[in-house]
Amino acid sequence: MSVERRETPWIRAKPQTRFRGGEGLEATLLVVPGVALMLLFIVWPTLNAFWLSFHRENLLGTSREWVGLANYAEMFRDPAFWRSVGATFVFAAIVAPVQLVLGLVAALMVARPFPGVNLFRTLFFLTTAVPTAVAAVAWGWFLHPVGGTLNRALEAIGLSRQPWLTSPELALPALAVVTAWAGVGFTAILLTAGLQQIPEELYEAARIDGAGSWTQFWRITLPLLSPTLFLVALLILLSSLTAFGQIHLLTRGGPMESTTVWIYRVYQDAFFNFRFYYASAQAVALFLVLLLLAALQFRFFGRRVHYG
Amino acid sequence: MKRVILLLALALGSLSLAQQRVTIDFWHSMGGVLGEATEALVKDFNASQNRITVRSQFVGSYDDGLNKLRAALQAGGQGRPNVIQVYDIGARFMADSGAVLPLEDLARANNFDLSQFVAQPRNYYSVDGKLYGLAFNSSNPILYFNAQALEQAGIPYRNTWSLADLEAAARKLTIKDASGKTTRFGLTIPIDSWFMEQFSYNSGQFFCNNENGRRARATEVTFNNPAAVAFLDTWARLVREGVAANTGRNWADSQSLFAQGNAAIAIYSTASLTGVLRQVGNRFPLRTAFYPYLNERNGTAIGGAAVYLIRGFGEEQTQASWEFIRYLLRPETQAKWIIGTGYFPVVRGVTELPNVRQAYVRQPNYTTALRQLETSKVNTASAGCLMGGFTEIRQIVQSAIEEALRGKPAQQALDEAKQRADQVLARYNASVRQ
Repeated sequence: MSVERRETPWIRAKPQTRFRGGEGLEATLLVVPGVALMLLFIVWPTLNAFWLSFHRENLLGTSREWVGLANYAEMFRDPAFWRSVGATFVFAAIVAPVQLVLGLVAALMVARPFPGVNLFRTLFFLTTAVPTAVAAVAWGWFLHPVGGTLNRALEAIGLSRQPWLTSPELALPALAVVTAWAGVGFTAILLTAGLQQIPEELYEAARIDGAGSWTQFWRITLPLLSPTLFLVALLILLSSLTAFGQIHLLTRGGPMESTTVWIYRVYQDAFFNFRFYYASAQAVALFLVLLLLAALQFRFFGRRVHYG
Repeated sequence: MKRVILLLALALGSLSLAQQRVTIDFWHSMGGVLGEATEALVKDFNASQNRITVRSQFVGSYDDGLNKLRAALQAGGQGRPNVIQVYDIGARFMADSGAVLPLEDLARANNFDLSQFVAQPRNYYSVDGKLYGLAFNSSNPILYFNAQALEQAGIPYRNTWSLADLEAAARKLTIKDASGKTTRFGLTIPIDSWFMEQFSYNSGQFFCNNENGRRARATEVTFNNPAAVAFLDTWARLVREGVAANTGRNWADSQSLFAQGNAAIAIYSTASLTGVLRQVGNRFPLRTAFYPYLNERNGTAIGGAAVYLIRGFGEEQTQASWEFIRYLLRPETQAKWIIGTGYFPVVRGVTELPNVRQAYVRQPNYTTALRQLETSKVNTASAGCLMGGFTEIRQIVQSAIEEALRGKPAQQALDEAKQRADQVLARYNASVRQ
């Protein structure tokens, strides 16, 4: 019993129940709408993208011809594509650790009840509850190159203002921080849930043995939180590889294409440059990379995590 | 009893009347204040007669609208609109798409006198000598001045500025503190390809070959022309010297700087005027002036968007769409539209209407765009560049501007950008032939 409770709910063992009698039909009926929606809005468009990526279209997309792997060949030769791939991984490499560490700090702060804990939980979650568009506009003011709050603060303490979103060096890291900030609340919630799964007795025992809070963190909290941490890291990585709204609203891929990440390149080629077939090839490639990353993570990191 | 029968007859009558009404779909991309003004026009049209109902729909940005149109045409035309608003640079695409019923054909069939159109909007939306779209919302780029700063610096206001004059004024208007840090910029320009395009036109140069694609289909860009290079070179130099502010691609970031009095001169569209006036409030008096030029002022091209009629509807629907267009072209409608938005009229005789005159007297800054249009030379340079793939090419130009602002020589940045843009154009032209 206690072992089962310690497992995080999303990495549960295979379901053991079997349908009996009339439950089968009922279950099918319940599942059909969800599956139908998934087929319609996820599976079909994905297959369609695959199919389209082997074609070339005329201006309006009203006629297309089969070109095999030509779009992929063009993609591999396209320096703009490789720049976007590079930008994507730099972006993810900043977002993931920042968001994970901030999320963990926030979670540790609010995991145990104390007076006013709910206020802090709400505050942390607010970053996630704020719609991307609203957050992006607010960050836009905050990071304004001349009159922004951040630059005014820098000037007030005698430092010089920085072109946060208008220089190719700073724009991508700045967007990564904005992205990490927006995800802190969600990360903190997942990690709080993970922290609450750790039995209090372990800490009690550790305290009796004379372990300090630092030792408790390294010997109990971190190992027992590792399945959750692993899952959260994976979620952050995947979501940062597909971050779009804040980029679209704050920099539109600029300056000098420094924030044109993979997914933004796909968007521009499809909906701006009307090259759906070429965008599809890039989207398929991104899809395969995401798939591969998810598989790799489960394969190699999945074993090392502590399941308690 | 009699009354009941009468009511019944009335109800039936109105029912059959409603059935006779032809419904046409109009897709537009006007949000906010402009959206309200557009909806008001549609509502007025629907109320002005009882045969046609225009069903208007805001379809998001211009790009969103084009994407929806593409999707509808790909689905065999299912759900396509009768009338759609498409941005200026979509002119070549719309003509090439084969999906548009040229406005000129309809106008001729209905004996509408084409000479009623103001020259520039007509030139801009003419492809291969034929007018395709009706300029709906037309704008120009203009200079915005903080008149108070101008006065304090002892610079007299003028309505025409060469680039050299503008540079001198910007330098004079810049204020730096003891440490050399700029506390008020002389100039702010949002990073937008449009300003490079317009500077080319206003200096009598072309942005793409074959005289802006007006003599024949454009096959190469020419945005590395001497005027564009000089403009970018000056712009970049001023940014590096702390005279001009670099606020990125977002117009709002530049506008807030100007409105707060932290930049004395700005370059925006005439369509920004209402918003900027509101932001400035009582902080300082605002003056507008004509767009700058290199050596001699030629004239700017119009920007904005046009409405197009989509092909393939029955006679009844097509005629109904024409009626709607005809309504939009009436001087009274145009007057209402331009007073509500700050755009300028596309048919002659609108500015003489009393309510338009009054509006211009109340806020003379609105007349700048109009006078700029009236005093522009009418030629292939001021007709504006007509080419496909323009959205993508603008992105390339914007990257080139950003490179130049960071120190790459303007000529080199634009030469390199031309290589990329020419590929885009070649690919577009190939897709038309396909």
